Amino acid sequence: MTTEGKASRWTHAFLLAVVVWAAGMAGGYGIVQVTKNLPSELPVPMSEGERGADALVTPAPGAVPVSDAGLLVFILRRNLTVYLWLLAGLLSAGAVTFVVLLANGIMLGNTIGLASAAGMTPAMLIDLLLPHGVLEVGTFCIAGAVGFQGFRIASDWGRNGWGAVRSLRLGLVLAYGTLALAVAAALETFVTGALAEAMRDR
Amino acid sequence: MTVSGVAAAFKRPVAPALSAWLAGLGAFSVVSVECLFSAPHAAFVYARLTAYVATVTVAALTVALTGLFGLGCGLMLWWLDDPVAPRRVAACAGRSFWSVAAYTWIALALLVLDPPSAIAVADLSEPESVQSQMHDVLAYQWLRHMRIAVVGAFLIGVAFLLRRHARPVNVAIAVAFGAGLVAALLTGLSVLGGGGDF
Repeated sequence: MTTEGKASRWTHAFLLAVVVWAAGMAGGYGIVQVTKNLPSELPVPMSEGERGADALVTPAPGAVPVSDAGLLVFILRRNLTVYLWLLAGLLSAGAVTFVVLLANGIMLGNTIGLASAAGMTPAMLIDLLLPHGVLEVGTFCIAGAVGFQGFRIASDWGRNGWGAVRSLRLGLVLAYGTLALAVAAALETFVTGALAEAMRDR
Repeated sequence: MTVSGVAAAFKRPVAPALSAWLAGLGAFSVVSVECLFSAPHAAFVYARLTAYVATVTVAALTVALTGLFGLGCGLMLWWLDDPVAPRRVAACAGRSFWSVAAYTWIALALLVLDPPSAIAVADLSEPESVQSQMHDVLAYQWLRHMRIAVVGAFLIGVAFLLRRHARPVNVAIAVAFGAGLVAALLTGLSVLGGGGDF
């Protein structure tokens, strides 16, 4: 295959990943609009009921505060798990990649919809999501593009065998993903965290 | 692969077992979700959505893990100088899916015989009561108690079908290696993700 052919194959796979993610986000946002008119009050558990409105803004007594380093490791571990699941599309002709991209898109769209419904302005949402989101979602879409190659590998296995897998440069993909997600987790912990604190104080 | 190639692949003997399992899983999920989350409340709309996404995810992950299992089996057989074509390993794993399909359809039959009652909004403040309510449903008991047995039946089925293409001792080693590989991946990802879902 020519260099242009390879590039176009990767571009198509990346665009497909972006489209699936965006479709998930639109779905997640749409669900918030659909459920807006349904009853949404939940019964308050006894322990929180006794604490009243205080339960909504302060942690429960005895809750251990999470350090910045702890939060960074938590975010990185979660995101790396999603990254590896996205690569699992290589073993399932892209099926796992499709589902995981769609599900994560739905979750993000839903969060944005709920935050908007709670009164957050688009500017606040951009401040909170953009700094780490571009790198994080971009990395997930790159993993999605790799995962979608699973369909090609499965259909061409008889002709190419392991050659198709070797051409993916999985070592590079894993190294890039770990590095990019570590930077995104650091941005989410320190930059997004500081922005959220500033918004709360406003 | 062309469209006719994909269509031909679905006509192979692997397809009925996988289709039967997928149909059973889909029907089980619809009956279960619609029984449990029928109350008109925003929380149950989210619960429905989460449950359906989880079902599709389980289906896709099962395919991926079966692929990894087949890859592990094939690699071990190749290492033992008793190579079997990957397509043949995949066909054996696919055909052995009848045990998983039967497990799912029996669960569906039990669910129809003893459907769970709908969760009320008031129940959401008492998760323990909802949990014990679920515990008593026959279909969920079946799924819980038989899951190890069905994995065992699947592995025995693969070994039984593969024995025609390689030495039985090598097949047993390859199946054990494939199962170990899947277990290691699942444990690794579970530890990495903090024991939660994806």
